[in-house]
Amino acid sequence: MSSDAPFVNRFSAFASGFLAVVLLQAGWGWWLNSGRGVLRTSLVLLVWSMVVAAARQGSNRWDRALAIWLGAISGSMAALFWIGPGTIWPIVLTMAAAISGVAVIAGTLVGASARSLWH
Amino acid sequence: MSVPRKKKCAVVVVFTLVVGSAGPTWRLLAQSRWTISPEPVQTLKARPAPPAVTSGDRGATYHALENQAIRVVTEFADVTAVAQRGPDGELSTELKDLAGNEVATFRVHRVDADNDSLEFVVPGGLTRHATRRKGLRPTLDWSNEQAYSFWKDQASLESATLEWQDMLIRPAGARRRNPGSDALQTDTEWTGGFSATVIRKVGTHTSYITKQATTGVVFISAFKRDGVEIGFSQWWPQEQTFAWSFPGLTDGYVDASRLQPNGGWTFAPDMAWLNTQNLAFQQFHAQASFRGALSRPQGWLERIESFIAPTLIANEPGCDYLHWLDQSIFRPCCDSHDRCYEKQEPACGWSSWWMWWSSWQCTMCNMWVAYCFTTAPGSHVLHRFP
Repeated sequence: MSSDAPFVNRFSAFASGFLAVVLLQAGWGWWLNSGRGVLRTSLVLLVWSMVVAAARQGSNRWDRALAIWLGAISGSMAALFWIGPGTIWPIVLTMAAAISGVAVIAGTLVGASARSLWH
Repeated sequence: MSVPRKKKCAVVVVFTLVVGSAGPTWRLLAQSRWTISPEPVQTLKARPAPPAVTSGDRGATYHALENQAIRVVTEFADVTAVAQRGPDGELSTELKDLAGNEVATFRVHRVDADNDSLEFVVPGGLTRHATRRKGLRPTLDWSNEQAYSFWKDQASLESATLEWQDMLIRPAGARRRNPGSDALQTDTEWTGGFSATVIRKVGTHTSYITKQATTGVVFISAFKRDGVEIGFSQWWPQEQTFAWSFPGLTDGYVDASRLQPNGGWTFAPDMAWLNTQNLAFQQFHAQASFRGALSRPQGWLERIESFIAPTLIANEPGCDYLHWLDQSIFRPCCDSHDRCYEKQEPACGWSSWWMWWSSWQCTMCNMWVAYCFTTAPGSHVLHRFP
């Protein structure tokens, strides 16, 4: 991560990704159990990454994206182990990481593009 | 490389990655369906209201399916009733206590198409005879319930006159009884290796109506072929909602409002009905799939599905916590992994993933499922799990 990204920024981004998944879990249950859950979580992460990328200027937007993604993975891990891991939990977490990663990258790209277009 | 050019390259690489990932992700989304969710609700076409389902007669289709049953075991708290259908169509129930001793028998002797003679015997004592009520079509589960009811009434059977109370023969004036509500479990066996087990329990689920977590009584029927679960259904009496999932065949739910065009629930689903309905799902949808397969080229998904049958469920049907993929090409990986886990002694569990040294067989199962997921469906077709 670049040195100009304050720790608090990365931490809050991490916490937001973590909280997003945990709150979605509390509201709708495990997100990889249904197509609707996958869509909902992906959209939340995508929109949030977009907002974060569009709101702040600087080269550290990918640091924040990475933090959001790591937060989402940690949230998924916490939720999964809270409800009781199934027989293929490493694969479940890998899938969670892949889908949330795509959502965060896409959101960050869109947010960054929107910001550069706006300014 | 200049900074703007670097940026351009980075954007192109990331964009390529995103677009490249979106394809398979979208395909997975399109392939997958969650087992019991609001989306796959069966839309029932409006049609004229069916004739009322009279007590003891659930229509020709139901009884044609029920007639295929060869054995029904109903477990009550104090006795177990085992009903069998003989080659001549006669029904007989043996009532056994918890120690396995026969405490009573009940037989339905066929007289002619419209008449049956009913015989209840307590070994070494009481015997009562009666004739079947008009309009009642004897079933194996009814035979068990009638036998159980007789056994409960045996103290007053000796001297009392008998009367029909709805579907049951009771001592005249006796307080009404519903033996079905005393049943803890019902097992039904059909020819062809099909069987179903229904239990009653208190469960929590997301209500189909309020969408809130709801706790209540639920009947869960697991349908099996050659001992391997291939589908299940649930009846939530408080919500009047029936949900089912037969991977590869059908899934969905209906409630009273969705059945409104057909007159709502015209009967109260019970344990025997759940099991019979499961047989109907399997038979009718399998036939439909077969006819469909004859009329069109078989798709890759169908080929994989036919390859994986019969499926086996170690704890949850399908991919645990990845039920999104239950209808996708990854389903065979999950079922094979479950099967692989079940074969091991002692059984594997989630900790087998990190305590890899505890069982090499479990580790092999895990390695195979990882391989299967990364190469699906090829690995499953070409290789067998340990």
